[in-house]
Formats: sequence, C-alpha cells, structure tokens
Amino acid sequence: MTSMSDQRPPGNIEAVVVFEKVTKSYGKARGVVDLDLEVRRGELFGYLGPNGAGKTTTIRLMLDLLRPTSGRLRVLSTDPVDFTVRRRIGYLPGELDLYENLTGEDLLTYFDHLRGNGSLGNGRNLAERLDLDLTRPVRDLSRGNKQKVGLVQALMHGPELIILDEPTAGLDPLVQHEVFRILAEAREGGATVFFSSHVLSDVQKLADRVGIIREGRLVAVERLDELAQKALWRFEVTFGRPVPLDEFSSVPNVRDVHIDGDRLICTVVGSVDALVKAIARYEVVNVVSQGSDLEEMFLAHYRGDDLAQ
Amino acid sequence: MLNSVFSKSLRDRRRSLFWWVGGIAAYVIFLDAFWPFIQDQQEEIGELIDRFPPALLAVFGVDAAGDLFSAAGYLNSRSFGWVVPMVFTIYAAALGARAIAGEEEDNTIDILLANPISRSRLVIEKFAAMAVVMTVLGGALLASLLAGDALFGLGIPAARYLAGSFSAVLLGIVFGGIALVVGATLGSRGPAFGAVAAGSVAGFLLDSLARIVTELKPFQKVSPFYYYGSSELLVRGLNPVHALVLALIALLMLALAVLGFRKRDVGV
Repeated sequence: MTSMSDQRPPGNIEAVVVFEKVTKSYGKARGVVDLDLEVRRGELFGYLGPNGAGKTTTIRLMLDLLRPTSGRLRVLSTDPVDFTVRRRIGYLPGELDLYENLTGEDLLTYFDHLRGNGSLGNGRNLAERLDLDLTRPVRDLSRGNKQKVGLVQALMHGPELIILDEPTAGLDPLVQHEVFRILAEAREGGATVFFSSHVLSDVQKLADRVGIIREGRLVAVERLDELAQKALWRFEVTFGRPVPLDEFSSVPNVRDVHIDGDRLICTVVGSVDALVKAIARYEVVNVVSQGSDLEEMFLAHYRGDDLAQ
Repeated sequence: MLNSVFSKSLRDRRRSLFWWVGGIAAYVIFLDAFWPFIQDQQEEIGELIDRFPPALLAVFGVDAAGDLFSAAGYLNSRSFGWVVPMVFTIYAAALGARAIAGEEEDNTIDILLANPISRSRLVIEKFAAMAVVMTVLGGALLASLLAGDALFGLGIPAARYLAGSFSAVLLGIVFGGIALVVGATLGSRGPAFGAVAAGSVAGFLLDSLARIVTELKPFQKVSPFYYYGSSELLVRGLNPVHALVLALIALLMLALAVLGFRKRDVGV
C-alpha cells in the first residue's frame, strides 16, 4: 500500500477539501471511519470504491447533508455548515431525482435564481453540447437525459469545486466522453473536480489521483499511474492451434495461467505489453479481455490489516 | 414563478388549490341556496332539533337549537362548525407535511440544499407559501360567502364572514405548522399527517365536549379549536385575543420546524 503521507500536498498547494479523522456512523448503514482526505486545488480526484463503501456518505458530508459524528472537515476552507460556500460548489447526487413536473429549462431557471448569478445562458450551452432537450418535462426524460440535466445544473454556474457522485451512471459511452471533456475543460479553467465511481475504467479516463475507499475506510490514495500498475485484466485468448503452457506461465505480469487446448485463460496485473507480445507469436483467432473487477483488485492489493476485522 | 423556494412552492400548488377553491365555493353556495327553504320550515326543524341530545349538537357546532332559527346559526353550524375547519386542516396538513418531508421522500432535497440556501430559510419560505395558499383558500371562502349571501338573502354582515374566514385561515396555518414541524424533524410525511389527524380530532372533540361537560372545561383552552371559535364566528364575530393566540401558535410551530430541521442529517 502506498503510504498516504507521501501523497499529502506540500504546504504551498491549497487543499480544497480536507477531512481530518472524520467518522460518520448512522443507523445500521456503514458510514465512514477515521477518514483523512485532502483534495488539491485544480485536480481531478477520483473516489473509487465498491457500492456501499461510503462514497456517497463522504460526498454528502461535504454538502452538509450529513453532519460528522466526529472529526473535522473543510470545503473551500469553510465549514460546510456555512451554506454560502455552496455558491462555489456544483453537485450531482448519486441517486438523482429531479422535480418531475418541471422541464429542464424550469429546473435550471429555478436553481439559477437560488444561486443568483445569471448562469442560465451557460446552462443552455452545456445542454446543447450534451444534446439535451430542455423543453421536455423531467418525467418524460430517460435516465440518461435526467443525468444530463443533473450535470448541467452542477456545472452551469462555473463552480470552483465540482462534486459528482457516479457522474457517468446511465450515460452512453459517447456522452460519457463528452462529459469527460467538459470536466477536463472545467479543470483547465481552474476548477477542482471530485467524482466518485465504482468503475475503475471511469477513474482511469479522468482522474489525476484516486482515493480508494472500502468498507468505510480510505485504504489508499494513489496517482493514476500507480493505480494502473495494480489493475487486473482477465484475458481469454483463442489460438489457431493448441499452445504450450510453459510458454505463458513465465511471461511477466501474468498469473493464474490455464491452457485448455487452443484456449489460454490468464490474469494480467499492470501492463499487458508482455502478454500481447507473447501471444503474437502464434496465430490468434480471438482475444477477449475484461477490465479489472474492482473487488478483485482490492482483494489482491488492499487486504491490509485495517480491513481484517 | 421559479424565483425562489417560496414562489416555486406556490406554483406547485396551483392545481390542487384550484380544486380546493372550487370545492369550498360550491359547498358554500349549495348551503346558502337552501336557506330560503330552511327559513320556510323553521318551526318543524326546530322541533326536530330539540329532540337531539345536546352533546351531539355541540359536536356539530350548535350551542342551542335556537341558533338554527337565524341565518347565522344555520350557516355557522354547517360551515364554520366543522366542515370549513376540516377542509382547512386537511389541506394545510398536506401542505405542511409535503414542505420538507415531501422533498425528502421525493429525494429532491439533496439537489435543492446543494444550492446556497440555508435550512432555516428553506423552512421559512415553505411555511410562508403554505400560509399564502391558506389565505387564498380563505379569500375564496369569503368571496363565496359574500356572493351566496347576496344571492339568497341571508343578511349576515360582511364583517362576520370576514371574521370566520380569517379564523379558518389561522386554524389551517396552525395545523399546517404542526405537520411542518413533524415532517421537518422526522423527514417523513406519515407521522406529520398522523400528528395532525390525532391533534385535530382530539382538539375538536375536547373543544366541543367541554361546552357541555363541565369537568372538561379547564382543558378546553388547550385545543386550537377553542381559539378558532367554531360555534360563534358568524353569530358573534371574531375574538381578536383568540385570533392572536392562533397566530402565536403558528409562529411557535414555525420556530420549532426551523429548529427541528436545522440540526439533523437530511435524507437518511
């Protein structure tokens, strides 16, 4: 595990989000435990963890929807209890529900008034980029289009801090790509983006640093290249004829090798380069590779003592 | 209509308010339309009424059979006696319960509170919208009472109608406030409705039975219906002290709702 102290921003870099030993427990649901987290100004921070790990709890604490049981947190150098800080924040909830009887335009108008900063024009531009029809009532929108409305309202007022809970849920890959581009642009404009996901590939496309949360505890904060070293890929290769086992069991980064006649099944950790070069020596009929299963990756890398309870 | 939480809340109630206004206007005109016939048969009805047990009459807002011989007595027992307060209470409870708990149950509270608006202000604006909706309903009630009077010649002074409608609005805001307190504190509408249902039925029975059961007399003043003044509104007019008490209870509810909502986790 990467030592978290290595990842602390040096003093001259402003931390936009700071959690200090924050614990939130409520009811039967697990919250977060002793959470220490710093997000630096101008970074795209991915918050990765399986469903139910505490991602949404972390985010809702930042918005003062939840109050910490213990510990201290600051968002834009402000206690989230101070509602005025939310003028500078854009938020997309994870389980998004909007006012069903309003149109997209109505919703943006309403929130624009509550924020008092005349950003409706920008909202319309964003909607256009996402190919979103603002004239239809929310109740008639598909899940993907609702998600777009949610994104537009989160981004239209040019917030300093953009907090997105599972932003790509329900979006087709093309729109996801556009969303990533919009977020990258926002970052170039000086915004900080904090987004959660349970999908590793989302985080890989977008994040500079990744915080990994499991069972309410932050188990690591890593740069993306460090994380890539730990990604697991499951490969299934079909050859034109049977292949020898020992040819592949010694390939770097490859483990769990099985040969079944002309089929090779194995797991790759980190770079797939060596495997690709090894299989290229034979006639390849088909290659199927499956991205990392997050839970598998956690088990492989983060089965630390702190999780052993 | 989307300038603020207050105006959006009013906008959301446009349709339901239309039906409540229509309903109460139709009811009042219907009552007034029967007055000429009632007047013709005063004596027979009086004999009939005399046979009812006084407790039953009290529950229906009739202090004495004699009340029914006047237009004010007739109309009061059938409107401000219990139908009007019931209508205002039910509608206000729905508004008060929906105000915060509705946003929470619909899961829209997260995205709303992510805007730079304080929780206190949210509660206050929702309360204000509820009070305005009640006032509009009260205005509609007053207008239909005045129209009915002019059409069917009941001859009740306009000030009495104003007194009754005003008192009904205040009573509605009190119960809407109770629903708001429970909904804002617990985050779900069920208990908010429950509190108003239990509170209004108990308060109503306490107030009406205390008029005939002397043992209950000391407790009558606990009931909002005592200050509402069901039996006397069209007969004696408004008691300004009682109206003030209702207004103060409503403000107390607003304060409790703010306190209840400010300190807790939202949407859990």
